[in-house]
Amino acid sequence: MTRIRLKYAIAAVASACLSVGCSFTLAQPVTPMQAAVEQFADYQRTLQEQRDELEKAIAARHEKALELGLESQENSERIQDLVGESDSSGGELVASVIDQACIARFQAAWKDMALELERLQRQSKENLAAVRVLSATLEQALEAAEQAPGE
Amino acid sequence: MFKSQTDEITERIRLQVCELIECKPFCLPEAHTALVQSFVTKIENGYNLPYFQGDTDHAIDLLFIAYNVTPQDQDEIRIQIVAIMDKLITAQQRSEQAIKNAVKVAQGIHVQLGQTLPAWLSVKENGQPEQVRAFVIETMLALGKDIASKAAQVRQDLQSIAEGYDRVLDETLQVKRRSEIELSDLIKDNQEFALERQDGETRRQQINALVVDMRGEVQRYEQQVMESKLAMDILIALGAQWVSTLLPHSVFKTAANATIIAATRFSNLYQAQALADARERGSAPQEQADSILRQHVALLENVQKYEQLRTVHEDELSKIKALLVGCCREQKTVELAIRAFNLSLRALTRNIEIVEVMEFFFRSLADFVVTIVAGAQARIDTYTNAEQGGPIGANGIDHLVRTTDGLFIEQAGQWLAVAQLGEQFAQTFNAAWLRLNELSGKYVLSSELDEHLDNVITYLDTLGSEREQRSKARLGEVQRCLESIQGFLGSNGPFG
Repeated sequence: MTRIRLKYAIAAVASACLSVGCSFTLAQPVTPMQAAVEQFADYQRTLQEQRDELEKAIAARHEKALELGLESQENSERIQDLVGESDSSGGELVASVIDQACIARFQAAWKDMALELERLQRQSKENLAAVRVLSATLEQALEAAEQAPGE
Repeated sequence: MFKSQTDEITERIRLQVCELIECKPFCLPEAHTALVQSFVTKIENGYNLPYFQGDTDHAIDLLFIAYNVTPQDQDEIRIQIVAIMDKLITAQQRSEQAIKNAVKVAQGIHVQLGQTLPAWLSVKENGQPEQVRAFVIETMLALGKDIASKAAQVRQDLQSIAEGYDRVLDETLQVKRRSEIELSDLIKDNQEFALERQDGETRRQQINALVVDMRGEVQRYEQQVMESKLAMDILIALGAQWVSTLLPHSVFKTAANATIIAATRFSNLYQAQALADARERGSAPQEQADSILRQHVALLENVQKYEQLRTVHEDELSKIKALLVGCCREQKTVELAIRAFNLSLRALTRNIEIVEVMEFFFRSLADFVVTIVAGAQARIDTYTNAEQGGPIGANGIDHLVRTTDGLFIEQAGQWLAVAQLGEQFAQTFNAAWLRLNELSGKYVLSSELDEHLDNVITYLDTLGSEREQRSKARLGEVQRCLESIQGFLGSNGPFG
C-alpha cells in the first residue's frame, strides 16, 4: 500500500516537473506556475505525512519483533521443560516444536519487513528532500517571472 | 584603559565620513570603500559570521544525530524531531527570503541616493542660499522620509525572522519535555542512569538558577542606576558596555528592549552618542562610581560562575562519547536507548542555545536599521527647522550643506553595508537549509547504525574540542574584564 502511494507520489512529482518544464518552454501565463507551486506544496505535505506513517510502521514492527522474540524464548523454555518431563505428552511437545518453527518463520519475515520498511523510509525521505529543492527552485522562477518587466 | 570596539569603530566612522565629505569631486562611497567595511563591522557588533555559520551547522548536525540515535520504537519522538527539522528548514528559507528583500531595499535606496546626488551637486555648486534651502526642504525631506519608511519595513521583516526562530525554539522545548517524560519511563528501573540523569538535571537547574539570579541582579542594577541618575556616558565609562557584552544571551531574552544595560549592548545609536558626549563631560562622584563598579564586579563574577558551570555541563559530551565507544555497541539493549535519549536531549538543548544566539543577532541587525532611521530622522529635523525658520544666514547654509553631504555619505555607506552583510547572510541561510534538507533526506538503516555511531563519535570529539577552546577564550575575556573593573575600584576610576 505504502509502496503504491509512494510510486504514485513520485510519478506525480515527475509529471509536475514536466508540466513546469512545459510552462517555462511555452512561456505560459503566470497562473499555471502558481498552480504548480501549490501542487508541489501538496506533494511535500503528502510525502511528510507518508514519512511519519512509515515511522509509525517501523516502530510498530519493532515492537512486534520484540514480542515475537519474547514468545520465542518462552516457547523454547516450554520445549526444554517438556523434554525434561518424563510423563509429558508427546503431542504437546510436537505442537510446541511446530510453534517454534512458525515463530522462527515469522521472525525471519519480520526481519525482511524491517529492511523493506527502512528502505521505503529512505526513499520517501530522499523524495521529500528532492521535492523541497524543486519547490524552492520553482518559487524562485515564479518570483523572477512576476518581477520580469512587461509581465 | 580597556578600549571598547564600538568606541574605536564610531571614531573611525566619524573620521572616514569627514574625509569623504572633503573629497573632490564629491561622490558616494562604493562597496569596497573602507567606510562601508567599518559599517559592516559595526552591524556585526562583535558577532563573528564564521561562528554563526559554524553554530548553524552544528545545530543541523546535532538534530540529525538526535533523530538517528533515538531508537526506532520511539516513533513519536522521532516524528517530533523530524518536525523540528521541517520547521527549521522553513525558517531558514524564510530568513533567506527576508534577507534578500532587505538587500533589495538597501540596494534600491543606494540607487535612489545616486540618482538624487547630481541635482544636489548642481544646487551646491550654484551656491544660492534659497536654492539650497528649497532643495533641502522639498527633495531631501521627501527622500529622508522615504528612506525611513523603507527602513522601518526592513526592520519589521527582520523582526519576523526572530519571531520565526522563537516558534522553532518553543517547539524544540516541547519535544525536549516530552522526550524527558519518555526517558523517565525508560530509566525508572535503572538506578545508575537515574542518578546520572539527576546529576545532569541538577547542573542544568543550577545554570538556569544562575540566569534567573543574573536577571534579578540586572534589575537591581537598573534600579540603582535610575536612583543615582548617572548618565549613560558615565555608565559606559564605568564598564557597563563590557559587562553587557559578556552577559549570556538568555539574560536579555525578556529584557532586551527594556533595560539600560541591554541598551548599551543593543543600541549602537545610544553608544555612539554616549561615547561622543563622554569625552566632553565630567565625572561621577567617586562614591557612586564605586557602587556601580561593585555591581559590575558582582555581575561579572556571576558570568564567570555561569561559564564554569557550562564548561562542566559540556564535559558530558565526551562522557557520552566514551559510553558509546565502551558498553553500548555490543549490548543493543535498553542501555543504548537510554544513552541515545540522553544524546538526543543534549542535541536538542544545544539547538535551543544556537537558536537563541541567532535570534540575538537579528535583534542586533534590526537595531542597526533603527539607528539608520534615527540618523535619517535627525537630518529631517534639521530640514524641518529650515522649513519653519526665517532667512538662513551664511553659517546656517554651511551647516545645511555639510549636513546634507553627510547624509549622502553616511546613508550610502550604511545601506551598502546592510546589502553586503545581507548578501553574506542570505548565502549562509541558503547553504544551511540545503544542508539540513540533504541530511533530512537521509535515513540510516539499522544495518548502518554502527558505522553511523562511529561517525557520531568522531564528530562529538571535534565539536567538544572546538567548544572547549571557545569556552576557555570566553573565560579569559571575562577574567580580563573583571581585572580591569576591579582596578578602577578605589582609584580615580576610568576618569583618571
